[in-house]
Amino acid sequence: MRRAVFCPLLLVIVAVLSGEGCSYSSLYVSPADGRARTVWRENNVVVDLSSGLASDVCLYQVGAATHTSRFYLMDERLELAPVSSPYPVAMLDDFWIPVFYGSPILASRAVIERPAVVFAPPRGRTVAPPPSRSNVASESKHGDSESRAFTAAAIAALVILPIVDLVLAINRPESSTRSAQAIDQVHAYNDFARTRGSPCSPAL
Amino acid sequence: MFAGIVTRTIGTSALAGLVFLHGCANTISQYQPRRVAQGELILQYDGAFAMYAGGKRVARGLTYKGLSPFVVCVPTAHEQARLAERDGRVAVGFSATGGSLGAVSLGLLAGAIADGDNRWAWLGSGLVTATIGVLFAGFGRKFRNSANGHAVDALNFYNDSVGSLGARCNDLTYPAPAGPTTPVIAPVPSSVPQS
Repeated sequence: MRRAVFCPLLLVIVAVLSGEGCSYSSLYVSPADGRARTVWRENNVVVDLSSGLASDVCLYQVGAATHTSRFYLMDERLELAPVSSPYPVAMLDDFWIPVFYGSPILASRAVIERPAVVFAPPRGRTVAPPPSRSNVASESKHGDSESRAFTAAAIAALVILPIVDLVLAINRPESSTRSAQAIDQVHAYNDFARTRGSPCSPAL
Repeated sequence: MFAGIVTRTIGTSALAGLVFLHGCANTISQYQPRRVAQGELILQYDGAFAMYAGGKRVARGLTYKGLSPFVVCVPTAHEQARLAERDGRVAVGFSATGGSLGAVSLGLLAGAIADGDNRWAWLGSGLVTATIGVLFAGFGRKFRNSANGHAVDALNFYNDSVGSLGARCNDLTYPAPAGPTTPVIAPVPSSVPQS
């Protein structure tokens, strides 16, 4: 009787906890316009340079401006050595006037489809190979139970489940460090790309 | 024996839970963008995703209230924003319910400790309640992910069509392009700077 109750409960819990990893699949695909973005991939935001392919010099400057050395890009993770002196980006008194290339944008067309514009021409990039990823493995054990051990297991489950409950309810699913770093890197990259003469801006 | 098992399990589980929660410390985004187009939506992170435009906060997770009217002129962005708002409300409801059921099951555990004659009735009720709570909390976490993903998509769709191009939904006036096509530039040498 007890096993008939306990085993389905365990199966439900395992199903929920394994299914909890089911991620939202974003349909967004960034255009190749040279403007960096944060895009949603596998429950986190990552940096998408959108074909604004950046040189090592540019990425080092972005890392210096954001005090980060790890880049979570769309298809790779980069680890760069930090530099001490970031390229200065002056604060504007007013909003930045976008510099883009393409056809003039008419309002009626813009609200229906994404206008085909490019913010910066693509450039070649050579980057150091990404560091090897480390995988974290986890193990779990189940043991057979006699009546006494079964009782102990039920008690333990009733203690652990509420804590699991509260952790799932309170804890954020996204990585706050990765999210904050990716957001900072995108902002810094765009600032550099929009500053004439910076390492990330096209040499026009 | 019973009290000893409960005490040790509570202590170990609480410690593990605190470590898990503390390990996910609240890192906030710190870089303030300086070259921002008028109407461009800026994403920040301060324990939750937040969106700003013109120096003012437009919306914040989980519910992202205010995002859909801001991006209303871009249908794809508007749809994503509505989904973000919906999933955010669902996530809040599920997480709150899951957490509450978890607290109730702890109360049932106390009943099992106090009422030894009907211990299995208390334990059984507590296990069912806690399991349902885990289900709710798990789905709350899933909808939280979905809300954040939809919100980021809404931001990107909106910026692609309006925000990063210097316009706003209530003022669809775009600057003139700098040219019809991208200019040709020389490749930049990828020399590594000495730190």
